[in-house]
Amino acid sequence: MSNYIARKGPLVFSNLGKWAYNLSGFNQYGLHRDDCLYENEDVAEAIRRLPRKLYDERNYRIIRALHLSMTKTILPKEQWTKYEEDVKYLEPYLKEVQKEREEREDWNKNH
Amino acid sequence: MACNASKTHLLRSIAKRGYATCPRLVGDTSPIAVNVLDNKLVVATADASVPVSRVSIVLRAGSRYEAYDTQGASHLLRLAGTLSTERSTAFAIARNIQQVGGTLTAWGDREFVGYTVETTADNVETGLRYLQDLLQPAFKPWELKDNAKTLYNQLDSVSKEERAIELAHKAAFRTGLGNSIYIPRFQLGNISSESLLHFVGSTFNPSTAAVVGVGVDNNLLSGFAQNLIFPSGGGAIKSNNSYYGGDARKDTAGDRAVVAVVGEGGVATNQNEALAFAILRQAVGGGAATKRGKSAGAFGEAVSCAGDAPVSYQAINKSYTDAGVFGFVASAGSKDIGKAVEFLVRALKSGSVSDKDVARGKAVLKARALSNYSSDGELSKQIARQAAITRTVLEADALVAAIDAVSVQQVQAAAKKVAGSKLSVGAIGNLANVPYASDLA
Repeated sequence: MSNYIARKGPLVFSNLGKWAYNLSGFNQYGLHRDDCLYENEDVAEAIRRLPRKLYDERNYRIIRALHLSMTKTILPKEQWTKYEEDVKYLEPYLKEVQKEREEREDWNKNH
Repeated sequence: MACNASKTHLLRSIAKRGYATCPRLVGDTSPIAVNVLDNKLVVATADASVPVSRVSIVLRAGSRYEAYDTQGASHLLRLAGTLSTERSTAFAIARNIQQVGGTLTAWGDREFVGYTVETTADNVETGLRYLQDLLQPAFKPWELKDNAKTLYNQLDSVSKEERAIELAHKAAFRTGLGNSIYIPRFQLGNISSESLLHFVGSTFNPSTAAVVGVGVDNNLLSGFAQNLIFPSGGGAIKSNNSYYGGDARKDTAGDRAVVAVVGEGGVATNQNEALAFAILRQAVGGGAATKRGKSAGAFGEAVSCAGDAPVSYQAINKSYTDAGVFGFVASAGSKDIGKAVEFLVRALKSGSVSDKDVARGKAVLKARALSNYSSDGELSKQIARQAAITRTVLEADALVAAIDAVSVQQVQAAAKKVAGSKLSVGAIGNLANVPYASDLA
């Protein structure tokens, strides 16, 4: 399972990236980038494959964000997700799901 | 996954003309070539020119190598035979093999897990391409979870006779060989991918494995076997083979009881003893020769002496690398089972077998052996087991000669060995009248 270790922080660090990340605002709810992905079929399948712990943590963050949104508040600043600490926990699973889908599509095209 | 087209008569003859220059005569047995590689992997092939090639990898990863907390790992290995591996996805394996009309099956018993691929002779490369990947299973947790229903289905379809035999093994060996080849229900969903990978790492070992083929050239298969990558971390792992004896009973609802009673049997690596026990099985009651007929031999007589109640029974003989069991499995209504078991045990404990029975046992065993050797599917299973256990394979003539060479005294010695050993009783069903092992001694 060593190939499912998640990347932490951005792929390439840049100040522009950091400015954009902070501007987007989801980090003020304590969310990570992968919590905000639109749940298309691939993402839904990747989420299903998450280990229990990651899955629970994701749900916790989303529920907390919904609660904060409802009460029109945000987290105290020290609890915001930092640009450098944003964990792309879904990425390895999502990539695998996409690769499998592409393999299926290729097969259907060629056979 | 099965492609039955080549099994029909007309297509088969066309296929033979197309694929093979000199087709083997029906029922003819083929020469067998055995080749041991540098890493001690055994490669055995029967060079028959047949339209369908069969290649198997046999690995010493059966249920006897499971620890207490990994019980059922080998059953999951069998299940994972069609799931994703490190190099290819389940989808790719299934579709590519289907596309060439092949099948890929995983099978297993107490000692081995085997993967067999069957393809037409000209597509054998496709089969081998995916067969080699199975040595690096991925055990993706979600795939195992998605296939849990298959496991439930498999467990539900295990017959009571099989359950009784499993229980008898449990009573006989407790651990090691006593482990069931079916996953216990409490283990469903409790074996993690990591522990499965560990199990694979410690059991998939070239020095105990075998690659066998029917209808494949020995050089081609040796080349394939040389390039196989086994998971690292393997070592000789030990498994219990000491015989204890005793009871393993499971009460269930209903009115029927199934009882398996066994004593110590023949060791497969001791060829003479193993054959003597195989002959003994046929001599005392290996099954009827005609449909719904009565089987001849001591067990048949014992059952008729026990009364008129319908009892179905069969002698069982299981030989493993370093141990074996011999006995019978019988089933009847709960009222009649006690008497039937008592009489059958008396026959088992008598420790004698007549010359006439031995001669009949030999004849039946020879016919069975030859019929196994003359069908490709059976032949591939036979040489797979032989190559993995004894690291060599007997040709049909040699096997028949070896059966002939077993003397009446050797068969009687086998009968005495069972008679003298402690008995193990595995029973399932309505056990009101089923005797305990201590009552049978």
